[in-house]
Amino acid sequence: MRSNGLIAILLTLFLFYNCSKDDFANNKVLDDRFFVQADGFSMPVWVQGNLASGKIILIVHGGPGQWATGFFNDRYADNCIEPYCAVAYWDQRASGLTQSNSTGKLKIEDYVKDIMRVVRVLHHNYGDSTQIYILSHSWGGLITPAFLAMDEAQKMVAGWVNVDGDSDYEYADYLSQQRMIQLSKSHLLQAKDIVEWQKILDFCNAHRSNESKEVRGKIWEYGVQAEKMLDEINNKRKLTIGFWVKEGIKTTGVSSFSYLSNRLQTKRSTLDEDVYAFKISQYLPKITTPILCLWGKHDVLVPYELGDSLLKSVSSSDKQLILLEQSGHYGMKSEPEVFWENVRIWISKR
Amino acid sequence: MGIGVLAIKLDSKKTTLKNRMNISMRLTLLSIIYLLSWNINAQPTEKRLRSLEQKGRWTTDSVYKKNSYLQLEASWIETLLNPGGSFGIGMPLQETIFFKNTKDGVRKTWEKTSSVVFATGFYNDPNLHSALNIHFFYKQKKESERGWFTYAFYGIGTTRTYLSGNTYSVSYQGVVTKVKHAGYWYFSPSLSVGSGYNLRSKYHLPIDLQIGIGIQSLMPYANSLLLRPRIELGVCYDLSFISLPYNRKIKTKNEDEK
Repeated sequence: MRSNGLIAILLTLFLFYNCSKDDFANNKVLDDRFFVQADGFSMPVWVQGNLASGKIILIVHGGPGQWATGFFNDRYADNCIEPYCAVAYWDQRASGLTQSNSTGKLKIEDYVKDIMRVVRVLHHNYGDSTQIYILSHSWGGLITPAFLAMDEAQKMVAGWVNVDGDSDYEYADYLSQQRMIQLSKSHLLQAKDIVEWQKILDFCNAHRSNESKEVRGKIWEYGVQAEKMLDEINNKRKLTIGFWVKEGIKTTGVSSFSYLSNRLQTKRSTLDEDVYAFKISQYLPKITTPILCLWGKHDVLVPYELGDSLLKSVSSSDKQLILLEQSGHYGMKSEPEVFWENVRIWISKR
Repeated sequence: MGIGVLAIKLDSKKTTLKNRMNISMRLTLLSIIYLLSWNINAQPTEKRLRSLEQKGRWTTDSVYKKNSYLQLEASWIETLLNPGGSFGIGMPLQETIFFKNTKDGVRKTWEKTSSVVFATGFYNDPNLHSALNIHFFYKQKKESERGWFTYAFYGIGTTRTYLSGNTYSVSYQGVVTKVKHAGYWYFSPSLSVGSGYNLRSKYHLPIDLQIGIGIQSLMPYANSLLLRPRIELGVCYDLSFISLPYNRKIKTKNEDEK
């Protein structure tokens, strides 16, 4: 009798496990997962959505060290874009769910080559006639133009959606500092958050944006703080560390520990400094691909003037800048419906 | 920047992976040897026993060899809905029985055992990989008169992962090929603690039931380590047809002697 009881308990546990497993892709048209391997890194690519459209949006996430699988793959992406076209959520090397036992140095050039690898595998798996659109965010806006300047690259992609792309870190810091001075003054006049804005103003007045590594770090930190204080940004979905952790755990459970390990690797790398030496201005005139710059109007970290400047430098005839009225640096989180609607309309016209 | 820079050195990569596998296995072997030597050193010597007695707290009444059964260890491992299992053989090293006579005249008894367990295991994480483990554990267990016990496993071993999805590499010429058996070798220390119940005394069954929590790590993962917390449901069964000698020690303490 006792052994029967034990078997019953084990069976219940087994059934519980099988019933409760969250297969979030049940209702998707396509849910394909594979890895692209390079230099000892195995980078996951999740392709989900409507492949019958013949279009795939490849996410080139920000960071370095953030992730696409937990970042873009939320219910808004599920509902707003995946019914219309497929989305390839790719975690870059040393990011998100990428696995490795590599102890090598992280180099920007390798990230650029990785985009090519992923695009080639997407064409290999889904056919050469499939149109691939790159949607890059922040740091992704630095490596994507370098990729587009590679031989054959522009033949392989149909368009580029550049979201708050940091294509020139030094200029972005300068613009960010100027924006913060302007915002501080206006908020001090309105007597709002006086202590915080005064601190930001004093710092910005006391330093040049390219003075040192510490100053650059501080400008980013104050930029994040400034965006949190701006009423114009829809901050209902608060972008705290807890938010990112929750997003990660919700999507991938215990695998989220991989995010932490990878984040640690990029934090300890020299990438944060290397980005300042990586100049892409030489590549921009080579770019003829259609470009949509989708920017948060109130982006303090990478102000939209940078997008404007990029559009002037590229040779594309099909180019456009759209500002998201209630967004800062993370438009896909502040105004997800508007964000994806703009992406959908732009892609459907091409 | 041209496509020419898209070079993937397949041969050198294979060599590197092979080297890493060797490093991982060497680390595991070294750790096993260290743990074994530590266990041998941990055996009671006359000198150590005398020093214990001089403290006037515990009296060692006897140390003698006794035969014990090999134990079969099996566990169901659950990591936030990612299943796994482990299967191993345990060999007792030492058992110490404690008798404590309290001031109230009550005699309390408990025992501490240490053993080594060699186990193989697996888990499946659909987001990352499936993995096979080989582990060598040092197990400590403290058991009360009523059969309840607590335990700790200190493990070292190696893990081979198999990526959970097709894996592709792209050659210098841009040719896409599928990588067979893609995955990595990792050095994999682990630790788990828990409690359980011994069915021998009350139900005359040669079985321990145990439940615990643990953490396994994979190294080097992203230049550091990957942690995998887990819950373990385990069974420990005495293999009555194989017995091996081990040290049994009896210690007594009288509280009124203090």
